[in-house]
Formats: sequence, C-alpha cells, structure tokens
Amino acid sequence: MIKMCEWERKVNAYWDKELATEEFQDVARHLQTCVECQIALNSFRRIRQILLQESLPATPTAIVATLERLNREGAFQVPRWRSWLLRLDSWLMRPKVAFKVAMAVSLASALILANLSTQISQATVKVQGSFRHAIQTISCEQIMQRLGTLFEKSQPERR
Amino acid sequence: MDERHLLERCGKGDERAWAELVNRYWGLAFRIAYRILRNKEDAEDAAQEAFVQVYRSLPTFQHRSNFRTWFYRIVVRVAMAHLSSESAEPLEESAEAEILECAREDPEKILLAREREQLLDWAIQQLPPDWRAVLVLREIEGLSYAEIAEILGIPIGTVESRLFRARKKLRQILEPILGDEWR
Repeated sequence: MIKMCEWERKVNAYWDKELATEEFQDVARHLQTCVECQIALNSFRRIRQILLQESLPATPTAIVATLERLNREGAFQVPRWRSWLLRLDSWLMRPKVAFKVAMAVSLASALILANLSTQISQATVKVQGSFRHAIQTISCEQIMQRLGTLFEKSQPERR
Repeated sequence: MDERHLLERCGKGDERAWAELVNRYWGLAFRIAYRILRNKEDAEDAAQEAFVQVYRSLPTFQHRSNFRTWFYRIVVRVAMAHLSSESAEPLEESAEAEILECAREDPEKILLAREREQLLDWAIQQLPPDWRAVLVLREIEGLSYAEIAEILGIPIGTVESRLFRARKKLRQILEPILGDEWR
C-alpha cells in the first residue's frame, strides 16, 4: 500500500510546473523534508520517462489509405474548371514561376503599348496630311464663289 | 505553404493540399489515437476518421483559433468515442497473470523493452478513457493544463484532478512490479 502525504496532490501540480510562484516554493521546501513526496515525485518522473520511451508501431500505408478515404468522402470533388484554376494558382504561388510570369506580363504589356503608340502617331500624321491636302486643293477663288452664291440666295428673302 | 492557406485550399477540394495536410498531421493523429486506444488497427481507423471529421468540419473552422488545438480536440474525441463504442479490450486475465508472474519470478526480465511495453499497455488499459486522454496530452504532447482544458472542454481543476488520479493509479500498478526503479 502506497503511503500518501496530503501534499502529494500539490507535488503533482509542482511536477507539471502549474503552481503559482509562492506555492511552488512551499512545495519545494516541503520536498526537502518529506520522503513520501520525494518518492511520489520520482514516480511521476518515471511514468513520464516510460511513456516517452514507448515505441510506436510503423504505419507505412496509412497516409495513402487516409487520402483514399478522404477521396471516397468527396473531399477532392471540384468542378474541372476550378481544379484547373487551383492548379494554375498553386503553380503561380511558386516564387520563381511567379517572378518569371510577372516579368513576361510586364514585357508583353510594354510591347503592346509601344505598338499602340506607334499606330496612334501614324494615324495622327495621316489625318494631319489629309487636312493639309484638303486645304491646299480648295482655292481661295472657289471659296469666294461659294460665298457669293450664298449671299445672292439670301437677298430675295430680305425683300 | 502556411497553414491558413493550406486549409483554405483543402476547403476548396485541392487534392495536393489535402495530401500535405495529412502528411503534416498524420503522425500526431496516430500518436494520440494509439496512446489512448493501445491498438494499432484501432488507432489507424481513429486517425483516418479524425481527418474525415476535419474535412466535414472545415467550413465551420474559425481561422482565428489554433488549428493544432482544434485538431487535437477532434482526434481525442474520435479516439474516445472509439474506445467507448468498442469498450477497450483489456488484456486477458491469463496474460495479465503471466506478466505479473514473470515480473515476480525474474524482476530483471521486466526491464526488457518488450515486456515493459506490455506491462505499460496493460497498466494504461486499466485507466478510464478520460484519464488516459489527459495523461497522453500532458505526458506525451507536453500540453499545459489550460490547453488540455480547452481541448477537452473541461475546467482546469478537472484536468489536474484526472492527471493526479491517473498517475496515482499507474503508480499503484507499476510500483510493486518495478520496485526500486521508482526510488
């Protein structure tokens, strides 16, 4: 029959470092004089040692079996488009790939912008040329004639 | 991949994320289940069941809380349910008597690892499931009383009390056999 000191319950918490500082010091002082509590503390230490030393059986196929079970439960069921997006997303999450893709996208954007600005400036030059040509072909005389005709048409209305 | 991101991907049905999650947490799940159930096949079943529970409960998981604590809770709950549904099979009386007889006749023999583990198996099987769970979380996982209380949903005082009783019982069983080793 194990002899028990009334402090033993506190020794249990002391071993787990779950006592407040003052109580912890009280128990430490008590342990210096109480043989029963010293034995109890030692037994707690041995129990932990034995439990920690215990080996676990090997489970070589357990992870695969768990994934198969999850699959049967429907954990991996997603629409095809979503799974593609997920795959792309996980691919893009890799830093090297993400950096390369970012560089490629910025290069492509720069090229498109450059191409667009060339086309815009070419179009501007074209429009300016047409205006210039139109202005040159219309002579001053034609303008005066046109103005005269307009003036005559407006006279009878005044009368 | 950080845990939050990993869980989000699992929630979206990403197979690779699940593979990583299972790979990361399988050891922990099996370790706890085995220490509580004391049987390899049952522990494998319980660990698998725990991951299925994770899959089913993932939509309700609050990312603010700690996944590890949440996972501990699931594994312990599944293992204890397993234990109560199948009522742990204690070693047969003859096997128990054999171990004790062997220890009395030749105390040095009990120091052999295999026999020691058999003895420990038997001793732990004498503990009620509630005590086993607390003992495993404290002694093997090294969790604090507060963490154990949160996982099991019980007051800290109850954790302390169960742990004390479990140790006392183990001591009662093991001390007469291991004798001077305790001192």
